[in-house]
Amino acid sequence: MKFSQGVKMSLTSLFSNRMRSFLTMLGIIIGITSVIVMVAIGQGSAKQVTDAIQRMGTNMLTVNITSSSSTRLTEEEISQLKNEPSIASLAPQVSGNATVKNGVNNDSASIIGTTPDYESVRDVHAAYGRFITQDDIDNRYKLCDVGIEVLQNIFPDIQAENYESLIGKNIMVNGTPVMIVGILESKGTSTAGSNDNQLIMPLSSAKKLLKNTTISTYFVEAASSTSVDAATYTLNQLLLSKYNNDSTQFRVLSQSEMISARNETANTLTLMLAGIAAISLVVGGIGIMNIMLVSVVERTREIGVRKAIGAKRRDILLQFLIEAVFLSCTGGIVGVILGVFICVLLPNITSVAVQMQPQIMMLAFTFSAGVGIVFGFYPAGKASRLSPIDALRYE
Amino acid sequence: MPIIEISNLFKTYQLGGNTVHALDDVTMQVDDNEFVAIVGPSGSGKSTLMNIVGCLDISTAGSYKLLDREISSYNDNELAEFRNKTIGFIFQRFNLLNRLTAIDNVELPLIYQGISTSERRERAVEALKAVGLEDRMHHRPMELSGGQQQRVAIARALITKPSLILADEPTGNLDSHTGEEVLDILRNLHHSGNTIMLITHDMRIAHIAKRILTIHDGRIKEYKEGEQ
Repeated sequence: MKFSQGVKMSLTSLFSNRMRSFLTMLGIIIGITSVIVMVAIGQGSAKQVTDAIQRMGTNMLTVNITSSSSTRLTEEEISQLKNEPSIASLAPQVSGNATVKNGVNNDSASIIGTTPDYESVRDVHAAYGRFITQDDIDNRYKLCDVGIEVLQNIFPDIQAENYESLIGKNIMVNGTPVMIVGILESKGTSTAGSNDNQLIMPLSSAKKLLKNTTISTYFVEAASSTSVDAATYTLNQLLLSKYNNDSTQFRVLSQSEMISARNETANTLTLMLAGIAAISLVVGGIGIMNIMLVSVVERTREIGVRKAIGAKRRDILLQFLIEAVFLSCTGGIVGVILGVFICVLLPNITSVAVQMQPQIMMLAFTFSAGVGIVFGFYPAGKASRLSPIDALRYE
Repeated sequence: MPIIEISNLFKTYQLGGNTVHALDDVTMQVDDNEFVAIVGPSGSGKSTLMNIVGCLDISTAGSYKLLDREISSYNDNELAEFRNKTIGFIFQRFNLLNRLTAIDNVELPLIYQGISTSERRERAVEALKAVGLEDRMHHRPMELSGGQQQRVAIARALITKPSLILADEPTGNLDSHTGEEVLDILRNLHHSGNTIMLITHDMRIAHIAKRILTIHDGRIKEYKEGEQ
């Protein structure tokens, strides 16, 4: 028998049982669709995180101090580090949450106490007014640069284009009046939360306001992307000598390290989602095997007739195998189309980020074809081994 | 020239601890262009004999030669290929595939020979004409009467131009009138040069054959000699 004849034969029998064929395919369709959508969601959220980290600048290093001791970088050490050729600038940060109030309107915002270097290190700028200065720190002035989300919450009546008029106004932060000196440019939202729901204050006054004098984070800007490693080395050397060679007391993280750490988490997530989806694909394959087994029993006489008039084992095997593979491949194609459709639709109706991956689609489709072969082989083999005499006698 | 040569053929089954001799030392010959009937009651071994002659099964012992080939040593695939090329089956229950039209059913043996679509069509139309069903080509078996279904089955048996036509109770599921029609077709096939082996339990039907063999408890006997 020619292969094309086998295909024709199989299609005839599948089309004469349309409803059953469709229901059998449904398992594979759902499996493939969920693989594609799940992986796209996993990769989409990974990309969101990576993008957020990259937006902070590739030259940035983060120094996290985990030590419980009160030892921190001194003023001299900070200015000494700033003079290092590999380091462009360095900004310490104290942070905490506070209630921000204007009259009856209030908002819970994050307070960042820092130095003027923060502006270049984190790439945050004042859209109106000015950024905090060294003078503000030295004099412990209670003033701030404020993010627009805070303004939206506490000045709901004022339009965004009139925010400039708010400069010079006092707002209450944890019950203390603080003067607005600048309005921050919008930075958008990342997975870590809103970047616009924050106040930036001089380090000295923020420490007092938050009743928190320990600096847990330093942001360091390397001179260029090629001097990141040198800056990391310098920081590590200094911190090691400060903390008696105990490297568990602090951590110096470059952007690439942060990205790879986040990616690892995202990949685990993707793998888990793909795993769940793959299980549904296998279940779909078992569905195909089940229906094919029923079909073989149902068509015992047909198999007997075909064998009597000259079908070889291979011909019968091929006929049933093609049926199974056709079911799973068509299911695969429909599943890919449906998956792409959902991936296109999803960001439009929800806030879920998706990233489609052509390799995953190819892989999912190939897998579905494989499922057809693997799960079709047993029923097809069973059909091909039937004895023509017994099969013809079957009622 | 004999096309079937059976000598000292045995077929035994194990049935619940007992050994059943379905064929017991059968020796017979069928010549080219003979019309022979095998008659026997149910359980006589005639189905077993037909299965072996039809290359659907192989014997336990003895020799079966069809067209000078020793069939007893053939494996599954060789049997299938040989059946396809040399034997045309006509069954009691027609055994047409219900999903296929008459012409598709008739074409089926040629599909397994890998013959091109156009040639298959041509030969199937020719075979259906031979049984007088050219106006029913595109009907499915369910849309045909029993007699018409059996004629489609005969066309399917003829399409490969087989050396041997095996008819197993071909009138068993038909009324006597349509049964006669089918027997007429067989008679005509014999006259146009085909070798036919008819298996039946009914001696009256067997009498259309030129030669009759009876089978009882797996043993075969000459009943009516054919004119040579």
